[in-house]
Amino acid sequence: MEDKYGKKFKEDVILEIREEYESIYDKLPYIGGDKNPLTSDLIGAAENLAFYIVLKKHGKTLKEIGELTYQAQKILFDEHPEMVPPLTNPEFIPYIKYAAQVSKEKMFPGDWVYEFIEGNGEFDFGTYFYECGIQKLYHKYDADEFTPYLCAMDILMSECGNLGLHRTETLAEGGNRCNFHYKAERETKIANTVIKKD
Amino acid sequence: MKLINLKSFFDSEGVLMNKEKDYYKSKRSEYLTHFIAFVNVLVC
Repeated sequence: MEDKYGKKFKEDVILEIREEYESIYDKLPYIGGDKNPLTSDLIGAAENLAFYIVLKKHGKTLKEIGELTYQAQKILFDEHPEMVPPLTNPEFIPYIKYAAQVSKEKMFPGDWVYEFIEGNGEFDFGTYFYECGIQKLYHKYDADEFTPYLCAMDILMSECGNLGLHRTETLAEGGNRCNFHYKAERETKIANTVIKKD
Repeated sequence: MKLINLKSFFDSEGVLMNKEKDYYKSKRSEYLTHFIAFVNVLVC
């Protein structure tokens, strides 16, 4: 950011971003805490949201902000590949199946709702999301336009973890669901409206 | 695998709202540390 906007701008916004994050954090919906594996996704979304709100206020465009956050996430995954959950590990898959069943009880309004899809040879397993916690949170902050950039970060996650994620639609980009299909080690193919791959 | 009914669990524990507040309060320092690391990457 310093390279792009200068040292003064960077110093000016750092404190604002932190204050914004703490404000968002204090109002985050409870979705089950540590019992819900997606709580950490919600926290990560809040971090990005704080950045978006402050930079938007300072006149930066959606594209600028989105690309900065996308690049930052790439650096984080490159430096900390352990951040990627081992979704295609056969020992982990039953846990995802269980979590999907729990989500369908819809106990928390701010939570995700999704179903587990059994593998069929073409993919190891899938998850179809019908409600998205990030989409709900961003909508509350009038940040719907930024949501597809969070969807795009799944490209980085899949590539970093060799998850072989294929996805053709998301709720945030006008789909009826987010259709995740995983198969370990295959090439990642994710349709996305905001990040264009080289 | 037996499903845990979280709603029943919280109801039996008492006040759901207190549980909610306690969770984020107890995790505040941990998540703030993570956030600072995230911001450092973002602004560099």
